[in-house]
Amino acid sequence: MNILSDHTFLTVAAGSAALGMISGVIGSFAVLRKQSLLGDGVSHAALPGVAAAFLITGVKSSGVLLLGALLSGLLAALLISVIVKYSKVKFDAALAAVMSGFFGLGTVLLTCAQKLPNAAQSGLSTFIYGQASAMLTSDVVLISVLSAVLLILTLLFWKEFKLFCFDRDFAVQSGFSEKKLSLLLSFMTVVTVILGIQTVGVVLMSAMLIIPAAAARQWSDRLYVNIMLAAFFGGFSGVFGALISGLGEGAPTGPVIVITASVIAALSLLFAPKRGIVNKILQRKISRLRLTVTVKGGNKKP
Amino acid sequence: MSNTENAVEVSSLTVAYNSKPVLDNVDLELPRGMLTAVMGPNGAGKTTLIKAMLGLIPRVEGQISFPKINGKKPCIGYVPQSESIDRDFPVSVLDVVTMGCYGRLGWVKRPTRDDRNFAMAMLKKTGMEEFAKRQISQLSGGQQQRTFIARALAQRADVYLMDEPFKGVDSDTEKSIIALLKELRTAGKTVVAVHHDLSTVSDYFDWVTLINMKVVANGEVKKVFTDENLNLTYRRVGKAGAAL
Amino acid sequence: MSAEIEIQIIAVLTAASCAIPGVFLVLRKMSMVSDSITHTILLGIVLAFFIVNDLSSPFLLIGAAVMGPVTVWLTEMLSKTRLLSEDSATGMVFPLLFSIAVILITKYAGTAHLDTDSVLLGELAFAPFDRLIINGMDMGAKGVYVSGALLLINIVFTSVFYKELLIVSFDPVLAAVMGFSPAILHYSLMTAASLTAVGAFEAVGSVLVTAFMIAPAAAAYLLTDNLKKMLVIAVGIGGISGILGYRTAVFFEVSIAGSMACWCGIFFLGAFIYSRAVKKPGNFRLKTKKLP
Repeated sequence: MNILSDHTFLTVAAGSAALGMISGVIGSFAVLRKQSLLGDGVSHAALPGVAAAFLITGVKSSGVLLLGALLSGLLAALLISVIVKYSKVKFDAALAAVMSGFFGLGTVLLTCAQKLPNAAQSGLSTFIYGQASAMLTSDVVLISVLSAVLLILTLLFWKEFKLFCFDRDFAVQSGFSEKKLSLLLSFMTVVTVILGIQTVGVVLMSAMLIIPAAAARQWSDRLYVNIMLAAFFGGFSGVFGALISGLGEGAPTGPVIVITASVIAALSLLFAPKRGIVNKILQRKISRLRLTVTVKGGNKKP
Repeated sequence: MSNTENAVEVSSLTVAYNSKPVLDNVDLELPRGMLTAVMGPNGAGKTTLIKAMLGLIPRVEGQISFPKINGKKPCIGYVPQSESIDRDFPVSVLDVVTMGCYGRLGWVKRPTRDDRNFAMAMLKKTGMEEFAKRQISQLSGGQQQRTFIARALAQRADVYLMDEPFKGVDSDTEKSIIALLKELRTAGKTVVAVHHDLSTVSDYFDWVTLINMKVVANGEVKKVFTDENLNLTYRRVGKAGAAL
Repeated sequence: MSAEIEIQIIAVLTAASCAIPGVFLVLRKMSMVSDSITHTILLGIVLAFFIVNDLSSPFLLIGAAVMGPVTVWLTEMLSKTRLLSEDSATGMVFPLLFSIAVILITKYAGTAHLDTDSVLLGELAFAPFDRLIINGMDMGAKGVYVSGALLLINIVFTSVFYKELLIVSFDPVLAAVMGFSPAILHYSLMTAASLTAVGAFEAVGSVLVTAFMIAPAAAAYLLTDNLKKMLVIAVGIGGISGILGYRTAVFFEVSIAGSMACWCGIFFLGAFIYSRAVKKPGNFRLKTKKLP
């Protein structure tokens, strides 16, 4: 097929694959911490950073804007943690309030930016929906390098993360600093989200953190298997999505990737051994039979 | 044929989570007008039994019924476990107790002054009247428990289902709660409580149900609360009725 | 009536009608449902459009409003399997539905380019299908009626079913025992929230709906221990954010919707700082396990 040798396509596919993989890995931890929607929140909260970066530097290079996004996202994540820790407001409310406030600020700054002479009209669309098709080789390199860094961090802190996500109190009692671990994980989540926004856009980034991780969870109870499967599912969705989107006319990459991932998740939810729904229905039928047999054959009170 | 001497009748109740049985073919009759303790090790299905009685969980099979009192269906009161309550909810103690009247009011009708006065009276009964305006997060565990008992009293229930009413409660509160329960018994009400403290069963309760997925024993405390039954209940964890 | 005043009226009415269901969303830990619904509304509109093929049909609004409860139902079905946590279920359902909507729009709705600014910031939600909304004064007047109607619906719903909403939100077990179906009330609330979101969406876009629904309610949550007061304060903060947002936006010549959302956030932060500074016993608790 022509498309497979097309340089643009290969770039997009490679970038999407890398993003999918790292989303799967980092997303697994977010899902374990019941902070799945942090991705959604952070991606919205990144907007003021992007706009501010442009306003301050007047530069529209990827790196600068990403840095702005990163700082903004981190600030939001920190703010949410502080609010949850020091008030009765729960995580979901803090997330929604901070994220929409930041996004509002972002649009305000963006409208400021659009008044400046050298601001092109790419504005919100790119940010919201991603522009996978405009991915450059340099972008892919950036993504790959950062993904590698995140992976190394994950390996280094593997046991800490595992413990912290599973049983926070015990982790604290074992001497690990809750603040530092939480911060580190949030930081890694924010970086992943910011990277991903370029490909799938703001709205769908939460999906990429959650869906591959949720799908992977159905196949195994062991964390490292989950992580690897999540990476695989995410990466596959990225490539497949890029392929379908490239072949079709006009179907934007982000949504196609998300739908691919969702299909994988649906199949996992249905057909995974042990946890899968189909499996459970079968099991239930079997155990009903078994229980009925026991009841009939066991000691019935007179 | 249901026996109106019974407050609750359970027959062949089987409940399973994820195809693992939690309650296995439970047959129970709990008599009216008594204080009944439901006991068993963790995971034995005690809370599940209460929830099943409240009609909250799906059953694999079996029936639960509350025989009529003088031809009328009995009102079921419910005192939840303290952990399951959202303490930050913006309601005061009086608000919580007034909720007990809602069932009688039905849809749309608002609580009247009489309802609120009645709620206050129930607060007085549990010694909580000075806390009426306090928001519930400002209460201690014992005070919270008393608030929810007052709420059940406000329901004017005939049968009270309680999930660990003495958990996390200081000894004074415990004494006042048990005094209240005994008053209920005198008034002919039935109390079924999930209980965890083996040492107080004989003093507090008349009837006991020992459960470990299946019913190990069910009867008067004097007769049934024996070492042998306790061994059976508490040592046989996990095997669904294997040795029974 | 000048356009300026009309816009502010719409803002206040919209904020007020969002704050009411928002209070219950916050209390029931369902804040992100507002975000979820505002994104899936798009799919409702698209599907309705495909059925009636008419941009000005009110069916589109119905389609949008229906998506709210449908989204919530799908999310709950998914989380009931207990294979996923509730937040994961939410985070799977709405992006999927949104993706489907985007793809349908780009493939089949003619002029492919989705006017994203309007989807997120309002005023031109139906732009991709051609302008539906009449601009200028007419829109102003229509907006006033729509937001006014929404406010009325919310006030009536919440007053009539106040005690039911209270008990179902606070102790659904007791509610069920007493015969108040938590499911009916739950989906009624979701429908009300959804209708409100749709109405508000048209005027102010998806992000602002979340801001108006959650931020003032969360601020009120911090400022009071009483549910009725919480409702009043949330409505008040929302309304003021609307007015201040508009004024500052006009003054600095920036996005109106963004400015309003910003003010909602500012009030929320302010409430947080106030609750910490004042340390009222009811509002301030360390996140340590409280011993009885």
